[in-house]
Amino acid sequence: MKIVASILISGALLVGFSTFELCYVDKTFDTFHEGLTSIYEKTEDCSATHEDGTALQLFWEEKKKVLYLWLPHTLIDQVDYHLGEALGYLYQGNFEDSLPKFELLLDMAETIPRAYKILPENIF
Amino acid sequence: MGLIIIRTIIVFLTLLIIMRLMGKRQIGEMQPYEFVITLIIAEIACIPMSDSSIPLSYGITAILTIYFLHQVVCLIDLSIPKAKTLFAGTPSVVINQNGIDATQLKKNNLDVSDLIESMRGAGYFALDDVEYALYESNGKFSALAKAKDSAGEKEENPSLPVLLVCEGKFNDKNLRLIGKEKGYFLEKLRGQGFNELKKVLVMTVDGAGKVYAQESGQSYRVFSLGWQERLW
Repeated sequence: MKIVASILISGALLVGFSTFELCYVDKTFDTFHEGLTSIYEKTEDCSATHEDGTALQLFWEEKKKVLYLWLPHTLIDQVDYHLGEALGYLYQGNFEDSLPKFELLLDMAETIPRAYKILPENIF
Repeated sequence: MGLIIIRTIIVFLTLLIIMRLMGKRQIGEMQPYEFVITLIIAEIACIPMSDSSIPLSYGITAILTIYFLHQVVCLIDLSIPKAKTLFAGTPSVVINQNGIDATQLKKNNLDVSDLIESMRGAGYFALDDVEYALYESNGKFSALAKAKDSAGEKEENPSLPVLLVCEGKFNDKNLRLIGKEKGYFLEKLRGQGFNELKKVLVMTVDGAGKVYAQESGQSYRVFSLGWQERLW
């Protein structure tokens, strides 16, 4: 009985935590992607403001505290680094240079959660 | 996290299969799945501990998966006897009433010299000292000693038997130790009906000239070389 209980508890913990992780990472990066798309479009129109940048940065700063639990820290540091650069250009009004940085971040926001999905190419 | 769970299960099962295929000599004194867990757990606990860029949850997930797998294997072991054979294997009787069972030795990737070494470890220095000997599923060697003679006494001044022929080949080192030629022993073997050396699975001889010899698939025989004095 004890052994069955331990299997059920550990199994439930594993399934529960992995489902939560998948959903959390997916949802966070989906929202991050939406924010990036919006700021990218505004940057293209040269209408992005300091507030747009600050909102995106605050969102990322808040979410990354939890992401540190699931993702390799170097990956989060990379997003930090590129976001810092993109926003730096934006705050200076240098829209042209911030666009490629936002494109890179958009790509990262798509590839990072995909790397954590249960797919054969990720398993092997 | 889901990926880590799946990857841990794959590595666990792969290692378990490999350990079962390697036979009993690799295991030590653990069941194969316990040995696999010992191999994995030290490593997965160390990596996130020493590398701060890897989240600790990776290590904890893998350890929890190992615990889950261990409990599942234990449960299957207890409830399905046939599955126990699959996970842990069965004991291999390597010495029976006919002598050494070469097939069982081969199945476990062992040879006669490994068997003799295990016997010495268990306190038996001659192959005919034991009635039965087996390797347990955890790799441990067990032997049932032969019943003593009617007087219940052991041989006086026993001499250490040395391995002279192992799977059809002479052991040159031991041949030099005895100080006799191959031809001498071949003649003695022929006299006992062992006509082809390559068929001789094992031949040991002690200092008093007592020989234990066995052909593959045949019963063992013990005979004397008729030496007048002990050589060692």
